Order: sequence, then structure tokens, then C-alpha cells
Amino acid sequence: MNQRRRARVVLAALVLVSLVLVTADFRSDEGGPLDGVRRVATAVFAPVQASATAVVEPVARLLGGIGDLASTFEDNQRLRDRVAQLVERRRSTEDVERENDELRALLEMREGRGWETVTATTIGIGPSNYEWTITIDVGTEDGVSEDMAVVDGDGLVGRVVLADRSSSRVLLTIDPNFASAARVAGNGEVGNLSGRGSELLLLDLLDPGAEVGPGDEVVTSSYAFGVFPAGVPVGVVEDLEQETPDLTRSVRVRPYVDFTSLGTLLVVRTFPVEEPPEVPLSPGRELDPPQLVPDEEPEADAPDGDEPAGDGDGDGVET
Amino acid sequence: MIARLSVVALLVVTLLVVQTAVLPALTVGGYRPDLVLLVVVAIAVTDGAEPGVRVGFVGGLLTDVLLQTSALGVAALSFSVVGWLVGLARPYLAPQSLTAPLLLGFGGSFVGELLLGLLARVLGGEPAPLRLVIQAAVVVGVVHTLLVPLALRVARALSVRFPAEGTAVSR
Repeated sequence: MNQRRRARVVLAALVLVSLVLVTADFRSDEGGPLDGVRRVATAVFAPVQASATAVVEPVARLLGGIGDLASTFEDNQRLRDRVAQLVERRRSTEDVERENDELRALLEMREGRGWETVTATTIGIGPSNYEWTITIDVGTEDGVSEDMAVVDGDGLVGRVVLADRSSSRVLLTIDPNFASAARVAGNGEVGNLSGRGSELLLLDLLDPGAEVGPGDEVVTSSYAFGVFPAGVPVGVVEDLEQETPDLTRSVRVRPYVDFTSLGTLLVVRTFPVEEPPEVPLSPGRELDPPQLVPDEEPEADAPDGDEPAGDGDGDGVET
Repeated sequence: MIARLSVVALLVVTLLVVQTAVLPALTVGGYRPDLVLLVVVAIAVTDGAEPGVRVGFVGGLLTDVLLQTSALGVAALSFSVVGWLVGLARPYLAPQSLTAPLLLGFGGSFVGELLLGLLARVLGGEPAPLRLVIQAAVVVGVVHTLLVPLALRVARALSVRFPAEGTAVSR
């Protein structure tokens, strides 16, 4: 067999193996054997990545800084604009705070009150240009589990998608696979937030008539499918993305977090859950919940009483 | 053969560690070079299609297990095909040409990154925008072109010390 033909045979065999792996990965559930392979890879690579990061990070940052020198002036101007924007935002937030109880509660959440958190350090980043993930140095033995929110001082960073014993993988908010409920802080308009890689985040507002404009702050929401604590800052509305013919409207959101320089982070282990509003009762009617567990064992020979046996409240409903 | 396999595996793992721990600070236009893809191209230029396919598969598979949202096997498939394509073009290169390896480096890296992005779009979860995939492929291709001479030195040293089965080094 000549070399060219042999190469074709090897290629065909390995392509077949790759396709089998792809198919098996598609069909396997979360926590399946292929997920276990990823877990092992994370556990093996994490300590090496942590050591490598600790040793070469200062040098790498220095080299990265030299590479970015050309854009320093542009960055300087952008940061000046950002400072002005933040000052303006702070003023407007303080104004609303005096008038709006909801936003006051939001700010309290923003300060992290009531959160139980674990401090984490970024030790690695995903190997592909098409996937926005990081590896952090805390795992299940630190109380971290999948779907927990990860934040930094600026706002929402992402969520834990794979937790091993001492390290975890975090899907960043800019990844196209990321989705979360979010709302506009100023007027409470809710929508679905999703990542788009190196482009700005996209917020699909549920109300196409919502009044949302550039500069409005976007925070996480506990509405519907939201799994994050409410009120975590996400970013600021940049502009209107498109007016779709369906019932949604999309705006582009510039995230607060700088995803190119993630360092120390917080994993939110627990957070207070917003209580559902109380249902008002009709006047004169008291709530009498059915007794699910009897206090006493029923007697063997039930006496022929005036009331039907069972619920004890006279409404005839058996419990 | 076992010695070569061990050295290649060690090289690929080292490059993956560098890529995931060090390179985040060294991005060009927001995109990072893919060192594993680069070494696959270099080995295919040096040793031919079959070693290129094998290293592409192993390197791609190791990349796959560090990916989260793409299906396992996507990088293995992409890098194997690149190893084969570059190896196919190798006999048509003038041995002393300086530009031919650079062109192959750009072409192989561009195709590899494009294939990885497109397959991730088709076989992954929520796809990255197509414009982003093309941008990444162009940037990675250009950066790899600059890194190809260094990668070829490594691949040739590897080929001299641990020759691939049934191949001869082109110098």
C-alpha cells in the first residue's frame, strides 16, 4: 500500500472514530461517560494550568501590554467616557433610589447582602476561539455546584457548567450558549439575555413596545427561567439591535465585566429567593390548610359521629 | 515508535497548557493562535499526510476534552482533515522554498480554524456568529504564518530524532 493510499485509510478510520464520538456525545445525557472524560481532563489539567498561570502570568501580561500599546490612546479616551458614564449612572441611580423601593432592594442585592459566596481564582481559559469558558480553582469540595452564578466586582461573569472536586468550568456570559433572564433596571422590562462571542450581548425584550434606550442598565432577573440572584449588574444598553416581526425586540448590551482580564471572582453558592406575593383572602374567610399528616392514629372502630370522618373541618374534603 | 508517540503527546499537552494558561494575555484582535493546530500543520509539512492525520487526531481529541459546549470529536475531526490536506500538498513543494511552507501554514491554519468553527456551528450547541468564525480563521491564519518557521524547526527536530514510520524529512 503506497503512502498516499495508507494516509487516506488512516484518515477515513479516524474521521469515522470522530463521528462516532460526536454522535455518542450528542446522545449521552449530562453526567454520562463522555462528561466524565471532561471532568477527568479538568481535574488533571487544572493544577498544571494553575502552576503555569502563576509562573508566567506577569510576563504574559507585560507582553500583552506591549502588544496593546498602539491602542492605548484610544483606550484612554474610551475609559474617560466610561468614567463620565458611570458618574452619570450613579447620579441617576441615587435619584431613583429615593423614589423606588424596588431599585433600593436591587442595590442591596448588588452589594452582595445575603449571598453566601466562595472566592475563586481564574486558572485557565477554554482552548478554542469559538468557546468562551474559564477554569477556576474551586470545586465541589468548596461547595460549588453546577448552575451557580459567578460574579466579579463589575457584575455577572457567567455560570458554573462543570464542577469537579477542586476545579470548575465556567461558561461566560458572552458565550453563545449562555442564556439568562435579565431586566432593565430603570423600568423593570424583562427579557432573555444571550452571549454572542466577542460581540455585544443581546437582550431580547418580551415587550416590543418597551421604552429602552442607550445607557439603561441591565441586571439579572429571577423572572421565569432565571437561575441567578436578581439584581446582579450585567451591562449597559448600547443600541437597538433590530425590530423583529415577532413579539420581541432586541437591544445590544455592553457588559461591565472585562472578560479579557478575569482574576479573582465570587461563586454565589446561595442567595435569598424572592418570596411570591401574598394572595389576599376574602373578608371573613380564614385559610384552613388540610391536615396531611394525622396527629393521632385513627381508631379501629370509627364511631358514628355527626360529622363525616376524614377532613375534620366539615367541608367534606378528604385529606 | 513509542518514544515518538510519547514525545508528540508531551508536546501537544505542553502546547495545550500554554494555550489555556498563558495565551489569554496574548491575543490578536481578540483571537488567540491555536498552537495544537500549528504543530499539526508543521508535522504534516515535515513528515507527510499520515503523521499529520495521526497527530491531528490526538491533538484534536485532547483539545476536545477541554472544550465544553462543542461535541467531543469536533476538533479531532477538523485537525485530522487539516493534517491530511497539508500532507497531500507537501510533495508539490520545492524543498528549498521559503514561501511555500508559509503559504501552507496560512492555508492549513485558515482551513483548520474555519472547519473547527463551522463544525462547532453545525454540531455544537448555540453557534458563534459566522462573521466571527471567518474573522477568527483569518487572524489565526496570519498569526500562524508568522509562527510557522519556529514550528517547522520543532517539527524537523522531532522528525530527525524520532522519525515517523516510513517517512523522510524534507530539508
